[in-house]
Amino acid sequence: MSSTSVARAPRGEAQLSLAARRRVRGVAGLLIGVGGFLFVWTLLSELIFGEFTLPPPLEIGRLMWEIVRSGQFAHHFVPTILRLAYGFGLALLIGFPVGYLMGTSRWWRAFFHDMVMVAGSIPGITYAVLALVLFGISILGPVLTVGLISMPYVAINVAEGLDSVDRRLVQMSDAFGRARPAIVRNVLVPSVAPFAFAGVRLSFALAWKVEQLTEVFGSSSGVGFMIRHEFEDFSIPGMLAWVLLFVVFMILLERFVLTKLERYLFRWRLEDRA
Amino acid sequence: MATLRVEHLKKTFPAIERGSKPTIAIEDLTFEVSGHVFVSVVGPSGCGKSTLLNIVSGIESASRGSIDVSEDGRPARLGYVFQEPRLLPWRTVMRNMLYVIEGDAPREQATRYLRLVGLEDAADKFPGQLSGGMQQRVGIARAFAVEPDLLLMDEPCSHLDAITARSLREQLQSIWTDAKKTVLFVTHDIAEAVQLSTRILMLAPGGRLYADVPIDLPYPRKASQTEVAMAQAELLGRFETMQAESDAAKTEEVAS
Amino acid sequence: MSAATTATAARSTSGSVGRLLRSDAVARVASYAFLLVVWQLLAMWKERFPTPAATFGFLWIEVTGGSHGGIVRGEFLEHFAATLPRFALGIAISMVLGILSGVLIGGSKLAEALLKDTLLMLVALPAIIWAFLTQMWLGMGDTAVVITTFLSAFPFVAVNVVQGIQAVPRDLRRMSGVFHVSGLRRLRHMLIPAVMGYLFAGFRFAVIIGWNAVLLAEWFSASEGVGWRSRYWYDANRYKGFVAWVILFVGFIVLLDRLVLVRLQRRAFRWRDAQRSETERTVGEIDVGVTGA
Repeated sequence: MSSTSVARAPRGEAQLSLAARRRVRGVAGLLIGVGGFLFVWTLLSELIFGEFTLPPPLEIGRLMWEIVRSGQFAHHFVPTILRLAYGFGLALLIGFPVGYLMGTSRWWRAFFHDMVMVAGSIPGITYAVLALVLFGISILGPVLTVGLISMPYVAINVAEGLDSVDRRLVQMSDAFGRARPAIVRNVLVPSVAPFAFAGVRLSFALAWKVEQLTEVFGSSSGVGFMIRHEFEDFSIPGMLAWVLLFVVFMILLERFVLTKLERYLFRWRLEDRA
Repeated sequence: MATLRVEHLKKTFPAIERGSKPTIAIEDLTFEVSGHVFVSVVGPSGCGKSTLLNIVSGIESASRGSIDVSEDGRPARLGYVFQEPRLLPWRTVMRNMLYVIEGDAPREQATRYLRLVGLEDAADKFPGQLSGGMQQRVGIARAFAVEPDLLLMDEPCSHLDAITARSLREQLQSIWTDAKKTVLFVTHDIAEAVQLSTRILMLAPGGRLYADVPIDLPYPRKASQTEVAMAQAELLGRFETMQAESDAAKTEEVAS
Repeated sequence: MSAATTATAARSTSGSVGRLLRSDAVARVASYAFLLVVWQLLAMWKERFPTPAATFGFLWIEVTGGSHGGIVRGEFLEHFAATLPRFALGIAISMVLGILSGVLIGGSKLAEALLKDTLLMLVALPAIIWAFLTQMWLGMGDTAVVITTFLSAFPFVAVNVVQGIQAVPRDLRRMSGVFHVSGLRRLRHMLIPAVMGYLFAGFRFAVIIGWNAVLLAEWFSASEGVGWRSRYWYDANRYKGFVAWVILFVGFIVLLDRLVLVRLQRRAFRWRDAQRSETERTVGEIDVGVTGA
């Protein structure tokens, strides 16, 4: 579509295009940040806390590598991620209709307002213990917890997104004789979907933390379970290794997988057509 | 091909604020359209032509009078082309066509009409990837593809640049001559109406039928042809007369 | 015109009942009724889970003292009196350290390059890890609880302070170089309110996350306090006690947030909200409580 040609300097060994330069800068920034993190950690470990209280990065790094190499990480990471995914699915399943009602009717907005607010205010430990009491050691605990904690974000965003539904598309559907359910499915839901997704993205960090807690209390597998296992073994290095592996992975997931997914789902959007 | 019968149509909008009078969009309109015709409704803004279209399509209801749209006794199927393309941005062109087509072979039907507007290669693109003119052509293909008895068009070229609009008008003529539909076309552009229509209904402000003019020129018509240009000039003259008369009436009303 | 009014008059009696049913107040009552019904059904389905009636009855006893005699001797005051100082101390330390590190990281490009990722890592850590670590480091007691609280909350304060400092428009900063003293005074009047808003947001995060962290920490490391008391009943398999205390501490933070914090936040952000549109503000009213595990 763009027909302008930019006179570009020939790509010699010393020449880098703007995009490549940006990427290099990004990687350099990451390296410096990670370097700073390891530096602070080593400082605290050697000088302030001591090697037992706060094991140095090298020791933890070795342990992390061992956990990954032995396949243990994959073995426990998969159930954790699955529960997270199911939980978000549940959040979308509940959040969409709740958000729709809240966005279109004053009565329903008043009805759900307090419930939505409280669902987001319940401490993680409460969810974790209640799940244990109700369901024992089961997958339901983490899934329901993630679902209920993220649902408010989805609902609020959906309610807000309803304003952006293009009435003209609804009118067009009416003019062509589309039935109400078809209009909801083909116009409303796709219009609101980006907002619902944003809700998931906003609650992502919160959800994984609460899930960890629930797994600590009421699971027989998963990263949270392993953290608890290490705790019961009095192993500080073990706990740190597992939690760092988990956190790094989740940050990577959030930054790469989620953004890619969002771009694919909404590739029809003109703003993405850069 | 349908029969559209409008009898003593009246449409008022309630007063916006207390104390002001309700707006009379259409006073008392009566006309009939049927067969393989291309009828334009022309008038200045505020003459009620968009309102007329909304009432015919069912988006709005009449305050008084009757509208009858039928095809061989049964209610007619309607197609609608809007000023903006109004395509679902999250569906490809083909899926947008399939959104409205019902029938045994929807894909073939969709492809046929996309071919008529020259866009069968765009079937798998998203509307965001097409230019405004192309999107509008899809809109037209979509309206024709439901194989309506009556096709309603609301100033479809008004949001396009002059060049795109010109080529769109040519395509409209060819698709209409091929598909043999009844078309009700609303526009404020007299020249466009003369180029496209077999008959022009000129509405004065207040929805009053000022003139009902047949245009008997052969198709395809280009704006450069002499007969077309002469007809445009004549009707433009009548249009301006109508404007002058209504302006005079308005000043009288204010003065009284 | 008169025909219309007689029609409305005839409908008025059934209309007003209808309008009452459609009112917001009834909607809220209906939502609580709905929750109670769901709770009751849950209790009937799962034997172990306490019914609303049992829970509220128990709550009443815990709060008013019942067999202990009087509200002053009741468990409610005793345990809140144990928890609140830890909570307050933890929040205070979070604020101090959070502001200090936030100013450092936000104000210096070098510090930001080196330390921002560390801060983001700290934000991402689940609070449970702090609870476990402090337990292993310090065993039981007030110190462990306070430290868990502050470690969980301070990264959020720091992040907000960093955002606040970086959000100060570049022009204001440039102005500070160009202008003389009187200009600087005007600058302070613009700068402080701007940063105050972010500071307050950080404070609110600290309070809510801090409260959750206190409860978590007390579950593991305390011998009295709100979090401990709820565990006490849980360990004793008296789940109505557990749920009763959940209601108490969730109620506390919700009330604190709604009645105190949100009001203060609105005042702190008054200068900014004046420019915002009406729609933005209404959505902000359904502000989801922030929890951190």
